[in-house]
Amino acid sequence: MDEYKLYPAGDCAINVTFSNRVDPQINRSIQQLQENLRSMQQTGITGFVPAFRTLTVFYDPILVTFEQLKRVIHQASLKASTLQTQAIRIVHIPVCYGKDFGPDLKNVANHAKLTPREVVKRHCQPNYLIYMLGFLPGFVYLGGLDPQLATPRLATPRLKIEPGAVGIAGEQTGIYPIESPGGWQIIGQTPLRLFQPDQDEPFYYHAGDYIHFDPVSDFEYQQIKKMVDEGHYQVYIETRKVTEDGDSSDTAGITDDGSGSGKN
Amino acid sequence: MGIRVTQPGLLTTVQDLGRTKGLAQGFSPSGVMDQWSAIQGNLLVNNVENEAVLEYSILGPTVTFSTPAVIAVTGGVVNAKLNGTQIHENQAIEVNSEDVLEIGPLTQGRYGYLAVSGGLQVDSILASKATSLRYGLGGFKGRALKTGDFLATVEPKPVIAEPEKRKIAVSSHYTDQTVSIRVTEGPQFAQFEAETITAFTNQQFKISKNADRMGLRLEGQPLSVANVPEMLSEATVAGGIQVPKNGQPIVLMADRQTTGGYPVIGVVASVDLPTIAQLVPGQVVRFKMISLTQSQQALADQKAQLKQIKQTFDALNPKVSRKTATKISRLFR
Repeated sequence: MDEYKLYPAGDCAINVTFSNRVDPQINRSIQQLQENLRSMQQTGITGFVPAFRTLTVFYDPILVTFEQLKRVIHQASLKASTLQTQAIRIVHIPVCYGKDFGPDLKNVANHAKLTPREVVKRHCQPNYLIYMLGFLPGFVYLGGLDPQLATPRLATPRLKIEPGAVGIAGEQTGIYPIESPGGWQIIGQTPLRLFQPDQDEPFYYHAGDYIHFDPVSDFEYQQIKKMVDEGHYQVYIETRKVTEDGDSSDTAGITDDGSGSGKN
Repeated sequence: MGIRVTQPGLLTTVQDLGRTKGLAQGFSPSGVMDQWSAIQGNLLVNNVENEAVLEYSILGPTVTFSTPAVIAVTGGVVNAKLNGTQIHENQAIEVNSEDVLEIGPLTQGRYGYLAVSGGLQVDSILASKATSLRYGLGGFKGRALKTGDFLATVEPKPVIAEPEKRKIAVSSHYTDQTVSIRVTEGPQFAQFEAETITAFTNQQFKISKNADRMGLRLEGQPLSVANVPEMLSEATVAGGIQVPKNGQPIVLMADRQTTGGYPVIGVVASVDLPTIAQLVPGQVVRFKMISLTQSQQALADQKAQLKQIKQTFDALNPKVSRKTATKISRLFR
């Protein structure tokens, strides 16, 4: 596992801090450490928040001391990876691009000097790694946007962005899971209801999973939306095994030719 | 049966100790600003510590009870009246059907609490009844209370023996002009220059007008972040003191975002979070650096104090323990 340093973040949290860069390999180390710590079931650990280069471990100092926790984290970092034998999850999000669903698709196309069709094609290409969730419930910070699609935010933010809007802001792309004001360039819309407050797992994805955008037509959008409203749409979640030598590749071991893939 | 809101007050919301299970998914914890006062309120009415209470700010609500209950008013100082007669804060009080409780304006402190025996019956989202106003989630319809709202409580009234003996001393820090707040080193502490650290602990900061449930913006001599490297966003913590580019610190509070990208110079000791939460704009704080060990010891001392209060109250209510009371109340949900 990559090297880390420990910094207290107040009297009830500790930051496990890895190298200062956005890197799929670091993200995997964070996911792996979290998984190992979970499996150790240490009394007093109250929660985890993974981010780009940190895993913040929340704890109750009455139940576990800082020194104990340091040792537990060290042990967890030594434990053989459980994740490497596990599959990674790719959550497929259907998106209808352009027109009323994506009023800023033309902005992005003009900025990228591409046709709107080419923008959509390139946006649907990658498996985007979810580095972390934050800003809003279910809001994903994704890695892997085609650099040519990077477009600055709108000069004047919108007061209201609909839940399910898919957008680009600088080098980031993402989805608004709930309504919010925002300055993102909105290029499409998913018919999925991303936030399900009545479920134990209110979102389909976690940090460490991947998101893939699947383009759908206007007609397909309406059909999926109807199924979602009626409660019988099955979100397609693909699982793939992580390749042995994949640690340094851009998508942390998964490749687009689907090597070692096991679709479900 | 429950509580009818006849005058909502300012920013009256249903809150518990926060939606801590959803942090990794980006859910702001929300919850009460002053956990110490809210927990006291719950103990006074024989609830579990994490039960939902009403939190109000600046002006408390007026409510009518449609069923008998035991209540407690805690937190910021108010002139609360029950059917026109003034009642004491930090004291369990029996109310009957059609009784009117008028809480009125806060004369000291920023946030007050109304705890009701058996708790407030609203749906939990991710195991919490806390209201997140920013995205209209949780609590009562995801929003602050309005005139005419009706909040369900537990029926029948939980049995509480000798409520008049259930009282806790009122805090005295609300009127202090300068308040000392203990802090531990933040995760980016070592990245600040020595002069900045000195400037942080040697000066007084004023609570600005931009102080809300999300964070308290402070005003003082700007802290230099010129040589602090840019950082990637990471998890925020309650009481984290961020220093943005303008050098005016922000103390992150209950409605904070779960991740942030500003360097954190210090973190308010958990035991002092209720104190800083109760400060009003214009009041002044001075930060005192303490070690992690000292901060955690202070927290352990506070927990011991709570335990003692609980034991005193449990001795008053020998037949029905808090656990049993909760179990019984669940049967009626």
